[in-house]
Amino acid sequence: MKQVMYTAEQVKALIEQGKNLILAGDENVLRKLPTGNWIGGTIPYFMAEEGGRFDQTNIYVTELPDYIKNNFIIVYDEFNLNRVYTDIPENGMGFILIPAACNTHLSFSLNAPGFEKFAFKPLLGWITGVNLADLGKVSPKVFNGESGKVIEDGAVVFHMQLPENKISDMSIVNVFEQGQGDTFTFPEDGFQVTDVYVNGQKQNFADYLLENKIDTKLPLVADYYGASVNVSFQQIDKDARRVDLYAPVFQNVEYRCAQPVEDYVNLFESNMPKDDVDSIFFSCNCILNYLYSELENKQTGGITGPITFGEIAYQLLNQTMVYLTIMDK
Amino acid sequence: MNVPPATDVRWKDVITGKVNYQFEFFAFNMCVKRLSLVLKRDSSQITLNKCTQELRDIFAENVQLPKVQRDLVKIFGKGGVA
Repeated sequence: MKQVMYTAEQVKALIEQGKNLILAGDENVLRKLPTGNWIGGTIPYFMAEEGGRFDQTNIYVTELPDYIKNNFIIVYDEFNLNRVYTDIPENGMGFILIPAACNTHLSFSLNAPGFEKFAFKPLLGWITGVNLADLGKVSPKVFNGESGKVIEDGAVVFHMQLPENKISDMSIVNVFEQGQGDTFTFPEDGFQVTDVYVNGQKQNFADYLLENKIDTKLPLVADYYGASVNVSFQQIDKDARRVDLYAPVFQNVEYRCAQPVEDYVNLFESNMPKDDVDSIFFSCNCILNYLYSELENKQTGGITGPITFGEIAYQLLNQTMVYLTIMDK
Repeated sequence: MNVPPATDVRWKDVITGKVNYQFEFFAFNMCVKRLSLVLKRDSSQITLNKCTQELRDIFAENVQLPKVQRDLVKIFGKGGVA
């Protein structure tokens, strides 16, 4: 299997060779790196060569193939991120990193589907995170390796152009499907929910989840014309009678609780298109899948990548594996 | 492969939900959902025209992908895109 985890010294050497890199690692390791053609995001959880692992020493490396030309890095904030899709070059793609829970993350999550040229070209990436033991104490960050700048609120994007004989394709693997239970709709878009319509009847969502003993390890699932799109539960605030989510729900979209999953790894492997694995340029999977499905030391169909606080395939997703393949036309 | 013009009524049928296809290309799943929500808020002819044009343009942008070609055949049939 191809090497994906590198020591800081090895990454430093790649940077000094002028390689174009997308990096994932613990903040303290990324801070040791010299400036160069790279972007990075903080996370200490990975699907590595040998399986799921927590690692604060090594760095997950995605090296851009030499045939990728016209690549450039742009740092956005919540106010100019609306041009992220129009900035992607012709026959190109954008690779985006955003720190979890910053204003840019919230803005992107809510507004990306309305940005100009949404989904015309692939925008993939992930929401950066921290060691779960440091939640609330350490902030997730992204790095612009070109300038050496470390960013707590913003998005760093590596835009790149493929040669004429290549084409990219972004897909997801989501093992969750809508269950057969109640249907939920929400009166407004948002991450924090109080009111919900359950089969058309208005209720408090926190009360509903508690009274019905809903397993909040399973996401809400919407059916997007055959593709299941998840929204994961963060917490139920009993006192505030409010439900906090890891991605926004959208008004007029129908959601249901996911069908329970018995064996994530087996189901994942059966959902993974086998012929795509060798041409995968990048993939990432969700921290909630890593935790709830106990992926540490387990392999998922030979797929590697950072474990993330949110996945981006055009827009923010939860509890989903995102992958991008590059192939000949 | 030929991508039919936005004025072809079958684009409208997709966005309004008159026909319901399961697309292979993930971008279409996202876009058709988004455009159907836009139309729910504003069903005017101007908005409908804008939405069908946008959907058509996304197909045209990605038409070199085999799964996009298969999705087009689902909507228009083999004869409609030859």
